[in-house]
Amino acid sequence: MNVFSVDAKTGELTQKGTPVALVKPMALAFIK
Amino acid sequence: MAKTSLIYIASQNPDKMGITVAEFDSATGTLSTPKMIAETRDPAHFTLSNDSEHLYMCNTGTPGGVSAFAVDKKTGALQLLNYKESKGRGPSYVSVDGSGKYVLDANYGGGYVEVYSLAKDGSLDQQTAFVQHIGSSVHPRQTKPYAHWFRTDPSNKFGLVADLGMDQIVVYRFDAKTGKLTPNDPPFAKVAGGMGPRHLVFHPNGKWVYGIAELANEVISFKWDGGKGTLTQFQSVKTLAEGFKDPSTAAEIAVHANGKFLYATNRGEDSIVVYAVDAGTGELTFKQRVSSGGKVPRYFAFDPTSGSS
Repeated sequence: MNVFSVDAKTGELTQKGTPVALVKPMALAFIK
Repeated sequence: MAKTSLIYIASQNPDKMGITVAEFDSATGTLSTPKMIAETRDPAHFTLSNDSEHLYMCNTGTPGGVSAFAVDKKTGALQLLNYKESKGRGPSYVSVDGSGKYVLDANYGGGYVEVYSLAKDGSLDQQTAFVQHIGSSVHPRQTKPYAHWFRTDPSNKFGLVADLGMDQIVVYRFDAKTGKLTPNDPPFAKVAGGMGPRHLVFHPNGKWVYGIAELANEVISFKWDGGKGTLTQFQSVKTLAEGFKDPSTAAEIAVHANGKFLYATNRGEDSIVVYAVDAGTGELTFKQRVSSGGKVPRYFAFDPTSGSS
């Protein structure tokens, strides 16, 4: 699992933080 | 606005399959180590209800089905409410309609779509629609229908299906009072042979729809007529870098909440591609290509502080 920041002005992605290991992740969703 | 969110991640770890939960800090981008919160067989795509009170999960595999869970929004704890078994292999995609009263699923292996009404407690109730697709296309992976994605449009009057096997975006009229589906007129938009449409996304303005073509590795752009339920293609762009020849299939697609950018992933090239969306025409222009930082980027999502459509 990797996290990217999004620059809302340019749309560009930048990887952030340390990747988190997880075997075969299939989908994800945030609780709102 | 920085805050901590809970995030569910489905894992098909052969040692322990299920839904994990982790904390995400949007200020630092830190994701905690996911913890197993509910074991469930062959978990794949899932969705939360519009109020996040319930979770609906595709259990792929044979036999497969759809599971409904109640969500504890403070802790992330999940309580299984019920399960509806599919005909054969389980579905690949599940969504909740705009009224919050129905669950729609697309069954990839079976090539059909179905709709379930929801009971007051959020459990799956009656099957209100079942439609078997019939057809094929030109690619070796298109010998039969493969319904891959199924959601309603912003008005909740139409249901759109990306059928990878038929090279069609199938459009149904959706009756939110009964949960029934009827073919639209015309009943589908055809894309070029061998495209393999996998997922769609509506632009926040509701006028444009973008599809990711898994087999051809392209993003297909459509104008959406929300009155007639019709799609008119106006552009397609490649998702792979020029000269990339290794096996790769496109996977997920999303539009940023501000409507200015579209994102797509490639499994094989293992990348995320960013396009700028022209505010007047909806046309896409390449902006950036980054490594996904892992292998086979099947899925991604925006955190609630940035949002996506």
